Amino acid sequence: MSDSRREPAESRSAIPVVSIRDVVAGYIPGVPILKGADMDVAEGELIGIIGPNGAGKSTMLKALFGLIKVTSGEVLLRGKDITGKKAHQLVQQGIAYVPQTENVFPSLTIGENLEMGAFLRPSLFTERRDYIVELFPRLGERINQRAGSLSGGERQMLAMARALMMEPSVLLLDEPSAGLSPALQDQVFIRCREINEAGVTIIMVEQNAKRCLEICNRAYVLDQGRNAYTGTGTELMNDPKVIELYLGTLAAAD
Amino acid sequence: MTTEAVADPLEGVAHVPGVPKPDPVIIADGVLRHFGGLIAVDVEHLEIQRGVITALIGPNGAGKTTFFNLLTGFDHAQAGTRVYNGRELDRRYEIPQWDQAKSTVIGLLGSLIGFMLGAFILARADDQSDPSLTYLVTGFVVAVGVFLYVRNKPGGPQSLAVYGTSTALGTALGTLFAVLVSPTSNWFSTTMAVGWLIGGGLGIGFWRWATGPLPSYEIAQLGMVRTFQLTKVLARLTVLNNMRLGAQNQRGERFLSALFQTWKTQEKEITAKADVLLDRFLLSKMRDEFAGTLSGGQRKLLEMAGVLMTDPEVVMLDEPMAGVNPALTQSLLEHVIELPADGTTVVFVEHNMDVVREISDWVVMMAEGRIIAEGPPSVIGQDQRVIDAYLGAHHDETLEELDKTELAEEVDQDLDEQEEMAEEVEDE
Repeated sequence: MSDSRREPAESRSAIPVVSIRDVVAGYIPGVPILKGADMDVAEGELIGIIGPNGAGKSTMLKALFGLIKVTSGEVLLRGKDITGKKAHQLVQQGIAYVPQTENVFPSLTIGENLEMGAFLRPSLFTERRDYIVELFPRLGERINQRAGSLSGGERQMLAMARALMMEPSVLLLDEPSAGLSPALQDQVFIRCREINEAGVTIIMVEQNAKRCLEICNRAYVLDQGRNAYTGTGTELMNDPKVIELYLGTLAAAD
Repeated sequence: MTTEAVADPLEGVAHVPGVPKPDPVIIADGVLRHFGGLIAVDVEHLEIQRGVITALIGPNGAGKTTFFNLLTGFDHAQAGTRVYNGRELDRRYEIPQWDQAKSTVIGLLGSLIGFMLGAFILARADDQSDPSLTYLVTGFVVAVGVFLYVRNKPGGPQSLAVYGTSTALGTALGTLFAVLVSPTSNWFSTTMAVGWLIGGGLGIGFWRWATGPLPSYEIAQLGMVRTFQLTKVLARLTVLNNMRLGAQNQRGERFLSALFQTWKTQEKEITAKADVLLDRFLLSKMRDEFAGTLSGGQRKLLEMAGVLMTDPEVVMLDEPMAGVNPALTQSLLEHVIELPADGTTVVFVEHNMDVVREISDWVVMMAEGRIIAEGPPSVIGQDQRVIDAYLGAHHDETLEELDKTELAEEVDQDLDEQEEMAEEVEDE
């Protein structure tokens, strides 16, 4: 079998680009979803976050991006403390976030959605838009179509395209393959790998553990708000404890 | 899988699309739903066997969810009939021809008599005030009298629809008659205009109600309930309250009971039942949290637990396991398997063939709006079309091994299909 799984990237600097230290966070005060989670991401890595329902995967991304209150612990960006910073401040620092749902402006056209993506750096618009159209020709063909009338697969494409418009250094993806057909899912994962190879650090939460572990350098398995396991994609795919926790007994049927 | 030595009711049923079943709880016939030029559903014939678990499978865009919507009243077909437990869902009342004629005549006559009475009364009074009001009131009184007479006759309720419309028309005609005949009526009398509008409106509304299809909530009350692909739990209510909402015949929903608080005992029972279900679906910890804080998979569980609050006869699950991790899926499946033991019928849409193989008694496969295969899971699972549609023709290749051009073509095809449906649905 070809070694399609990737080894950890060699970090360009010793300081991780993103760090989460012992973070406790939740949506309602007193009801933490994350109960002390950690993560370190080196520049240029493709990191996966997988785990059972309610484990806190999406919550972790939101805590990173300042969308929910962090009760205790730290979030660091290139060594600087960004805990509690608001999302718009982090966008200025080069972090882009693609939520799982409601991730496009339905009443705006594709072109206008992309403009919103380049809002903070409008001078980049033309150049980035050309790059996006090359990456997603389907979006280019429909550039004046209302985002609300797009199908599910196209909408997810647009959501990711919007995030890429600002030329982020870190891209946060919340279940990019959710609800997509198998062929589309495969394409999404291939694209993510290509974007990562172009130099963008990617942190992705995923339910399709198989494909996610195939493309990532390392992954974190969360369970009940804490880290359960971590390792390279290959290591985790073959770890019987991970298989049991996450992939369940149905893995045996494979 | 069930280990009981009960005769398999589906034994001996041919593996042919549209095959009749020994004891069907739902029968769909000639159901056609199109969105402009795109045919979303074109089911010639389908029977769902009572008390077993039927899986509805097919690629994205095959029409499974649309078909679910049609069966449960969330969408209306352009053609075809749906029968649930012998009850037709497409027309609330079947109005036999003879009764239509009879009740039309009765309605018109009744209204006319009412007006003549009104004219008589006016002739006796010497009142110069707006006479049309008198006509309307007497017409109405007579109409109610005739209504009470027709109501309990054989075919009565069914005839009421026609009666209602004809009374309204009769009111309008009678008023017109009064205007033409009576020297003191004013053509432009406001009362008359209002009478026309109300009478006509009520009649037409009544007609549409009586001859139209049953709406989704009435179908649910009859015992056929469903869950949704994109969950619809009420985010600002707690998990427990979402559950309690599902219970049927709640005394507290009636005005006087609510006022005098006679619902307390029932509420206790409902809460106990909700807690049992929450426990079964491993949601007890989140009992008092707002449903909006649940993760996607947890909302799926809540929705499934919620429909069981109604003690339904038929449970239709739309992709119940999507977004639920495989380990929890296993425990959920165990609960789904138990449902037929109480006589509950289960129909579920699913993409995961492992799940389908494990729990379903019968599989129906759809593609491009039609049913292309029916049979037990062991047979359908071997069908190459199924394997390709589901796992994606490339499920056992790694991403590296995939042919990018081929993949791009498949993706374009998937998106083209989805796009047509998305546009049409948006226009609705």
